[in-house]
Amino acid sequence: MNLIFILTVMALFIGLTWYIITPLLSGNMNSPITVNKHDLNRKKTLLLRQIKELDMDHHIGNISDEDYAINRRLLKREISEIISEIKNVS
Amino acid sequence: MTPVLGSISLSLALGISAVSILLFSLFLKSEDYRFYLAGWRAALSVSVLSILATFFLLNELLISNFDIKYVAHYTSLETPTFYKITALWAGQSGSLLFWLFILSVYSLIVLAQYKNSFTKLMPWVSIVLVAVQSFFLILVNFVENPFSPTDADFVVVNGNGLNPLLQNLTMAIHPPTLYLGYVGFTVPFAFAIAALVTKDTGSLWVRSIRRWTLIAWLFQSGGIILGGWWAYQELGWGGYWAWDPVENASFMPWLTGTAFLHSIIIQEKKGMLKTWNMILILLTFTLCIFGTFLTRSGVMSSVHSFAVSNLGPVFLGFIAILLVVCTFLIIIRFPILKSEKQIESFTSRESGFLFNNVIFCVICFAVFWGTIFPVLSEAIRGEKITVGAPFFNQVNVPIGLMLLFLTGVGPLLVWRRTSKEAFIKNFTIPVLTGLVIFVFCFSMGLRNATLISFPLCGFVTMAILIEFQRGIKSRVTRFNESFLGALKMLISKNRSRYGGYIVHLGIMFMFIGFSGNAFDSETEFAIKTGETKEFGGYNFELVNIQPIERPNHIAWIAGLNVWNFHHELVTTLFPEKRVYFYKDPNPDKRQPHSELDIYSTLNKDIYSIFSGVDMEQQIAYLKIMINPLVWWVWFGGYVLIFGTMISLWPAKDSE
Repeated sequence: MNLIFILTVMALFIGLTWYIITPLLSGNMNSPITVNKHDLNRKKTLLLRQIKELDMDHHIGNISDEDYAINRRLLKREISEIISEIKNVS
Repeated sequence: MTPVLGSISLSLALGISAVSILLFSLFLKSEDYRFYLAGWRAALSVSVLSILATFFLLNELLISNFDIKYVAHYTSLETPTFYKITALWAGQSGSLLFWLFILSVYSLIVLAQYKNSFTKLMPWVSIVLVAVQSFFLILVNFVENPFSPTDADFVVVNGNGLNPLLQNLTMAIHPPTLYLGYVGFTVPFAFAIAALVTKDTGSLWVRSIRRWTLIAWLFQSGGIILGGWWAYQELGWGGYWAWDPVENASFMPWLTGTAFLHSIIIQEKKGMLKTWNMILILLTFTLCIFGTFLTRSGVMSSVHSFAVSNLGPVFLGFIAILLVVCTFLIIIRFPILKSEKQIESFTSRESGFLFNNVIFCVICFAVFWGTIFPVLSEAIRGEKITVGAPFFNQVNVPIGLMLLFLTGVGPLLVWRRTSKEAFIKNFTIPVLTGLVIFVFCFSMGLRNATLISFPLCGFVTMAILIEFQRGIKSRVTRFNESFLGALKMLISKNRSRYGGYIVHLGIMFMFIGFSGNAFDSETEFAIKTGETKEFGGYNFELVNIQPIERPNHIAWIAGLNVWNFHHELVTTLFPEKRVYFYKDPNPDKRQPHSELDIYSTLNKDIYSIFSGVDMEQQIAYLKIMINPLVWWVWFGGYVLIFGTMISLWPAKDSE
């Protein structure tokens, strides 16, 4: 094995080690966000989509009026809660 | 130098994977974000190093470095460049490295995409991904190292070359596609484990991994179809599915994955089947590993070869760990996995989904049992009892028809309970369509399974069309759109659902193709140039036999005119008889191979195989098969892929 090869491998090893341990050398960090806004927004989008699908299911007759009303109310309540949570996080 | 760099990359990756898991564990214990960031960087490094190692091996294959055992075994100087690349997944150690490569690419995407989202789940998702990577790193470092040097005390000037059967474009695409499917299920698996550990088992994780599951499912489906296409085009037995253990290995996770894709709809909409969904996705991944184990351990050829293979016990150990961990997690989380609601009626859409799931699992179990039975019989009784295609067909044809029936029934049922009026309204037209086709088939003399399958195909098609019609009608009334505009908007605003229906149409087309098997016919004959033979309503005229030399083989090409009974030329087929490694002084190393030629139409394929040649007498030995409706299998495959891509396309939430 020649010197260049050994140096290449060493450089790779040191570079990787440095890349990995750099965050550990900084000051103590708590998790930047405990309740993630991304996650809440994702949840909100998914629920809105669910309401849209429910509306369509009801319109084409795949769900009864009674079930539609109950499910829609539940989904709306869930969205309201998430919107409040997003406001709190903001 | 490059092989050593490859080995070093793999060793470093293995070491860093352990560090990564440790750092994530420290983060979970201390909640100090620095550990998460360092663990995340370590996980990225594992993936990058694994990808790097794969490129190192690829480089060695391309430059034909026969000092590496793998390169000498699977390529030669005559191997075309394209097949030198595909040799990466032709052998044991290469394909394990390729598994790792794909997993690393997936991991990189997941790590980059979700670095700052799924805060609760991501540390565990990362741990699982890195743990699976570690398993494959252990394999390529200690059991099957692709960079092992050649065991020869002389300079190897040329390699063995790639198996001729693998020198085919489809075979070049099929394994990577299938691997993308197998490996892709690691991502939903990681999310499932994370959801179980963190007790976050609501519908969010299910919705969030649906796209990942669909991606894996798309590749798995594509891989299976391509495998069938390759078998049909290359193996020369006239079929596309032989219930071979390797085929079954890819089919089993597909079945459970498909069941999962259906049952998560119930969890999203109704909060039901949470435990079932967990079991399905965990089982799907375990079956992916089991499939890799079946194909790579040599256990299917004989339990004795398994005993001498190093891979088998390691894989079995990993599967055992997976099963123990998954079972333990499901048991301890059982209380929070309980359904929020119960299925209220037999005639509800929920029941339809549940029946469909049961059928998928029954088929999976039948395939599993038939696949492992020879191994079990050899291990227990010392006698290998092979379960052939007749067993699989006998069991799976009726269950498959039941599944086809449910594909049509599902969209016609209403959520929670289908009232009598809705039942009559929704089922009348599809049932009548099925009945009309049944009467027609009966009058045409059909008496086998096709008498059921063709009417069911009609029933399913009509059920799907009605679902489209109802959706379009709804949009026309609500948004005052034109018919075509409503169709376009219906699909684009509900990609997941209507993409799914298109997939169902694809499956229905495939069933039409499968039904054609019942009418297959074949003959074999020796024919002299200028002679004509009659078979299946056609005259086959051998025009000439032409020898031709190509870079890696010699071939004899038969020019075969096919005439119909009206004396019109239908087509000219050119099946070939090839001999690979024909320059090798050792005649045992020369490999004969028949390259088929197929004339494919909507209603039948004319399939020609050149089995042997006598150049002195100008005689060709040919096998001709008439295979009805095979075209529909491939067409159904395209439709299935198209439908899945529609489902995958990101939805716009502007309306």
